Amino acid sequence: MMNSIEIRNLKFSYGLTEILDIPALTIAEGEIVFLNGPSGSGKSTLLELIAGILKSQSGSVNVCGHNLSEMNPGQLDHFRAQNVGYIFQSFNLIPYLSVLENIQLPFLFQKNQLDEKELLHLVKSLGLIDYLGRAVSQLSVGQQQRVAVARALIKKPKLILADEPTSALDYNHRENFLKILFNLCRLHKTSVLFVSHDLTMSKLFDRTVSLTEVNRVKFESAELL
Amino acid sequence: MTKITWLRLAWKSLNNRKFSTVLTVFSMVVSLVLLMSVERIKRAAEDGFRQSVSGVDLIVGARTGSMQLVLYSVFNIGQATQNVSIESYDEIRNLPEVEWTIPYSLGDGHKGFRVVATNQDFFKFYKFRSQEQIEFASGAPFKDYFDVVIGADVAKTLGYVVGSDVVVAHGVTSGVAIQEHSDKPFKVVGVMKPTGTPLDRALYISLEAMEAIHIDWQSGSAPSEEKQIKASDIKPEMVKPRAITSFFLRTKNRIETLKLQRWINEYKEEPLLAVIPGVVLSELWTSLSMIEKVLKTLSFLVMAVGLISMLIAIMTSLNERRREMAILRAVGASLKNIVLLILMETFLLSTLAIFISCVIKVLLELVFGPWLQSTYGLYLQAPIFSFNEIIYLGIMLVSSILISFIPAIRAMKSALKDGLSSKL
Repeated sequence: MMNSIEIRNLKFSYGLTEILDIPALTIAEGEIVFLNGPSGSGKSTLLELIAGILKSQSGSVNVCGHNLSEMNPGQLDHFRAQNVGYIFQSFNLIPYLSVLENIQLPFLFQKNQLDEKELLHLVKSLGLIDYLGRAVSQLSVGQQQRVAVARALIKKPKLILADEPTSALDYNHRENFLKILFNLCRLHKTSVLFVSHDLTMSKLFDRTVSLTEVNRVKFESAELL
Repeated sequence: MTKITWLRLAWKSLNNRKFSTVLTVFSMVVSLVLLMSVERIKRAAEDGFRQSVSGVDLIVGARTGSMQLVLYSVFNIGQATQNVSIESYDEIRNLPEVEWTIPYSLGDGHKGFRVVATNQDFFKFYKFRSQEQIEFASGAPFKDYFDVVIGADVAKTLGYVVGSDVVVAHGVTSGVAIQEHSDKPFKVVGVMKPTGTPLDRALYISLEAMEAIHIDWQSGSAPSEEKQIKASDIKPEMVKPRAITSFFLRTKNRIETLKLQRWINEYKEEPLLAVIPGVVLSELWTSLSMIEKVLKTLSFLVMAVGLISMLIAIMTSLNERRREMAILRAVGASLKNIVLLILMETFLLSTLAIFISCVIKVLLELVFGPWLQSTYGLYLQAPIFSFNEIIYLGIMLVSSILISFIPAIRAMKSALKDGLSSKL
């Protein structure tokens, strides 16, 4: 089976401040992984390296069969548009666009055509069918996160990167949200790298990875970052 | 299902920042309207100037400077130093290549306005703005010796109507008259419609009337009471014109003009000067081009202010939009896409500003056109949009897009630096 993510000897610094030094990290295709670490430990930086937003100073980051270290910025943008779905912690959506427009947004940046049937199927399964024309500001936080999931999944990415997307949700909504996300990802064999500092959710995932364990850089106080 | 497009995204983004968008468009509209208004007024002034007299091939007067001849014949400015004898005038007007002439005899005035002595051909042939002819608001051309036709400005300024009495002042066109032809008052028989040309600011009498009011004058002085000749005693043979100041001439065939001009300029009997009015009027306008340059400079400064305000508005909005850029990048937008979005927004802003300013310009012309015409004699002639104005609109559009590369590149750099940071 092909790995979704293969990281080898990854090193990344902001100026002189070393942030990440990861000898190896692998996530298999279709695997749903919980990446845990305290605030400021470099979780978001790692996600941005995997998304091809940042480039490592050394080592290799191989995502969905693409060696990101060898790609130029244009190729990285194309790779991200084709392969990666991203869900933020909050403020996930463009506030001035409707629910439907937010979900369609990824297709603005790639050549593939939107399959309307699939879109309808996806929004139905996320319980958003009645909200398509609404302004996203009229939705609850939970509904907004479901729109973000729909937007991340609509282009059928091979990998979903989720940066603390449940931090604004209460316990019941959080579990419900994760169940919907995982069901859809399993259906499409989409890998998920889910980042959070809240360990109570780890039982819902295939595997838990602690960044403090895989990262050789140790912070006295991670909050400093 | 409505699909999202770049245009829609850019439009909704602008709409999301309504207040700043409205202010930006407003400043651009103000600058464009001002720019086009200045251009329009300049064009109206230039057209009015160049087309003060139309259909005239030559203006002929005693030998003097060509500009001076045009200034006193067309614009009622300055004085002629010499006259043209009636014999020379008769010889030239009877040449086979001449279609018509309009004689002008100047020298007297009335309360700041010039009195022009001419004949019926003036009402028949004088044209301005290409094909427009003299029309009467009331009354008709002069018939008797002491009939006077007045221009629209004269009527408006002095409150004259048909039937009003006019006493011509001797030898002056401005200020207080020292000597007046009070023994031979005129009666207004016609008020001309406004033309927006110097015609509006003059009074018109017959050549014979000009002779009649000077019939008993000797060496430029008014006669004593006993030597005065009463108006009723004047006979036609007593008031045959002896000289005129200048005359307008139309040839039967335009090709004859240059030949005739040369012939008149080399006329042996009397030193005469014939000028082509279009050429001299263009030279005259060019000599006034300093005003035009100042107006143009001001207009471009106004345009620059509009563009700078647009730049400031976009730049200040960028910081608020860092999160939006991060989301766009996360869903696949490249740095080029971010630049394209900012450029698209500017394109929309400029297009909107151009459209609104064009609508306002047309409305302003409809509302204020008649006022400009009656108050300042500025006729807003077709076309509504000159080539220059279209060029200005194009410059505005292209400059705004070029200028928006500054915020676009800044947004790109900011998006590159910020990445997908959730702390924005």
